[in-house]
Amino acid sequence: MSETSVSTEVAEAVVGGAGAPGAPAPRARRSRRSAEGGSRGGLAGLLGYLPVAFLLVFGGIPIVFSLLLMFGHLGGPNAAISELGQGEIPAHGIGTLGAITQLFENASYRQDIFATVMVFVVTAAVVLAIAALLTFWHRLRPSKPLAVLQFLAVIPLFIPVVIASFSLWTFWGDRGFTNSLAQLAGWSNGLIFSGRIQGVILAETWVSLPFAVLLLRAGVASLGDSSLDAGRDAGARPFTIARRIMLPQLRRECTVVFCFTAVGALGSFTVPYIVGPSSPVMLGVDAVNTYTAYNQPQQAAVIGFTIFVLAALIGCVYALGSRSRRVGRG
Amino acid sequence: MQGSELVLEQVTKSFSGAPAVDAVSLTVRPHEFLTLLGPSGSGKTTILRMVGGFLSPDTGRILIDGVDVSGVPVERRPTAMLFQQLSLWPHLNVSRNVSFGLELRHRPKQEIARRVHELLSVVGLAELGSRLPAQLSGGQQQRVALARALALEPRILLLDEPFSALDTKLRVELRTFVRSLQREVGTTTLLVTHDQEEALELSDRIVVMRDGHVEQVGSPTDIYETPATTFVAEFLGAMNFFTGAASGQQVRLAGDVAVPVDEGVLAAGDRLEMGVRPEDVVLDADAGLPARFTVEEVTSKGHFRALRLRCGALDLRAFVDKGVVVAPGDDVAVRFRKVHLFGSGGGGQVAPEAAAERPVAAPSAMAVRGASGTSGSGSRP
Ligand SMILES: Nc1ncnc2c1ncn2[C@@H]1O[C@H](COP(=O)(O)OP(=O)(O)OP(=O)(O)O)[C@@H](O)[C@H]1O
Ligand SMILES: [Mg+2]
Repeated sequence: MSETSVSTEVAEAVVGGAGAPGAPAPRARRSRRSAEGGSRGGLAGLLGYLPVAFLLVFGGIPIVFSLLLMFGHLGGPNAAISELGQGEIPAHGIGTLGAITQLFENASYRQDIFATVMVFVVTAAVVLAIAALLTFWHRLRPSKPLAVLQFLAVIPLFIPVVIASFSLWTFWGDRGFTNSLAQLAGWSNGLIFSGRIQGVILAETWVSLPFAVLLLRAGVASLGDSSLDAGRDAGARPFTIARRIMLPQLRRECTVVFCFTAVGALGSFTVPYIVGPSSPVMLGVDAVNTYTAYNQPQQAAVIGFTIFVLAALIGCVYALGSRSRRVGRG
Repeated sequence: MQGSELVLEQVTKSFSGAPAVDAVSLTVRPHEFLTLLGPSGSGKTTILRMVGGFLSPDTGRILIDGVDVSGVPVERRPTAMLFQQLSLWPHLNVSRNVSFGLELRHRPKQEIARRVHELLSVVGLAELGSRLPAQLSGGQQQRVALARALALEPRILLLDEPFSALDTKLRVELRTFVRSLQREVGTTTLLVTHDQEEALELSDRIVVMRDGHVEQVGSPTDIYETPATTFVAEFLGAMNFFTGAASGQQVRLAGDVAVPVDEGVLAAGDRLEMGVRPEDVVLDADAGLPARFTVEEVTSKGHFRALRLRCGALDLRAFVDKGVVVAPGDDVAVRFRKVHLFGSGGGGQVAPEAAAERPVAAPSAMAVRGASGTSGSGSRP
């Protein structure tokens, strides 16, 4: 039970981090204006505040508590949890960085961070590349095989992640399909991905691909035929059209795919827990282990905070990539 | 002078079984300005897209300067197309839209800048080079698209209703410009339009299309003066149609109105379709048809007047000089300066459905015969 509570907290931090630079601020401003606009706007204005209030209560308050815990404030709302926890470093005065330095001085924790960054950056890049290749190419040169591939790429959407992770773990394991093939070819233990960081990347890619393909497919469908035809007419070959005409128009979609995949991989637990190695582990797994196995809630909060910072960085990428530029379609 | 010869040989294209273009053969001479005219859905755009390489014909060949281009992809064809839909690249500003093709050809920077400025001035948008397409009106976008097509210096220019989004003044201005540019550079040009005035003014020759096939090809004068079928006659200019029967040297219409025609044109008893252009209807008290028409409606059309006349079951539209004084209710006598005769299920050698569109008289022979001449004439094919 407690295991899940930590991971939800992590997920909330992630959501807050990714969304913060973008949407909520203008929305809040708009609803305030409508609240001022006469008596009939009053109720609507209140309704507008409801999601914000919800977010503050169920997202904001836990974040504040875990920040307090991280900086060594073990009393008050954190009293119950620190009563049971171990290895706590209490604050003197306004707070202590003890738990943070303790973790960051640990080489294996730094490796965990590095592995996590690796996984989400590479996964997001690979997913974006595959989805873009499939959808752009199919838009420029429609063909049966590409249509089939696109269809196949969407299937993982309907397979629960736990089941998929176990299947992939078996598939890429030392007695799995890939390695058996390698053995047959005389390449001993050449194709084992289970229990390796590469395996996590492969599995995350597999899990994230459907959403990316669906989103980019909708994106390329929105591009007018004649605008692509005009590109060919001007003498551009398919690759040039993809790079200079399609990509710039689908910058937002590509940014969304990249950032969502990255945040998804960053906050994922099931895939790295099942498919990944025991060390380095991804931060999501690390947080859960630290909380449950090591019984160190304060250190788990530090890990949660690290994830939050990384998510905020992805949020910055999102904000930069989807910066509005006057683009008219139609 | 850059302008290629374009030949279509029995080109057919179907979409899910229904032919959009049906065995069309056409030769466009080098430097020619040819207009495809026809109602919506008659296959005009499809022809243009096949010439540009965006579609490949199901059967038949397309030759540019004698070379079959079926294997040549769009990007290597010497054609440039202006699309019916607005097709500017929304993320590039006006200048970059125009320069895109030149950049791909690795032209020197200064040359590109000069050429872009030149082309934008020509379409009257030199000031707007840094705007994005979304910041332009529809007509302005279409002009940028024209500049973009011209920038490619094609040997065949394909224009798909380029002027339809423009107001009348701009349209006239721009088409005059396109025409003079075409004369100067000599680019073979295929224009698609619905606008008959545009077709008549610009074209060396007009191709009238209907349901995927060519109904008639000819110079604007030919097509206007001697339409091959009732469809062409109606599509280009207005025409009154009457069903009648040949009787001696007359065509007898409903209500016992008889129109005399030349000797030898008709075999007795032929059912036929007689066409009269409204401007060929003359109000004339002296030498009119025996019947008298009642004026039902008078509409001013600016530089002329449109009348609706009736004589029994016959309904007749007439365009008369704005100086002619008539009012609804007046009784007038009319004569026809010229009539066009089309077959209508007559002679035994023609099947009825085919005969429906067959001209009985070669209309070129239907000359005006003096002041009192009221008939057309011709010879039976
Ligand atoms: N991609 C397509 N798929 C299916 N049918 C098509 C396609 N393109 C054209 N058609 C059909 O082919 C016929 C000819 O179309 P086309 O676009 O050539 O007409 P058009 O003469 O250019 O008409 P308009 O003046 O309305 O532009 C139409 O009946 C149209 O529905
Ligand atoms: Mg069309």
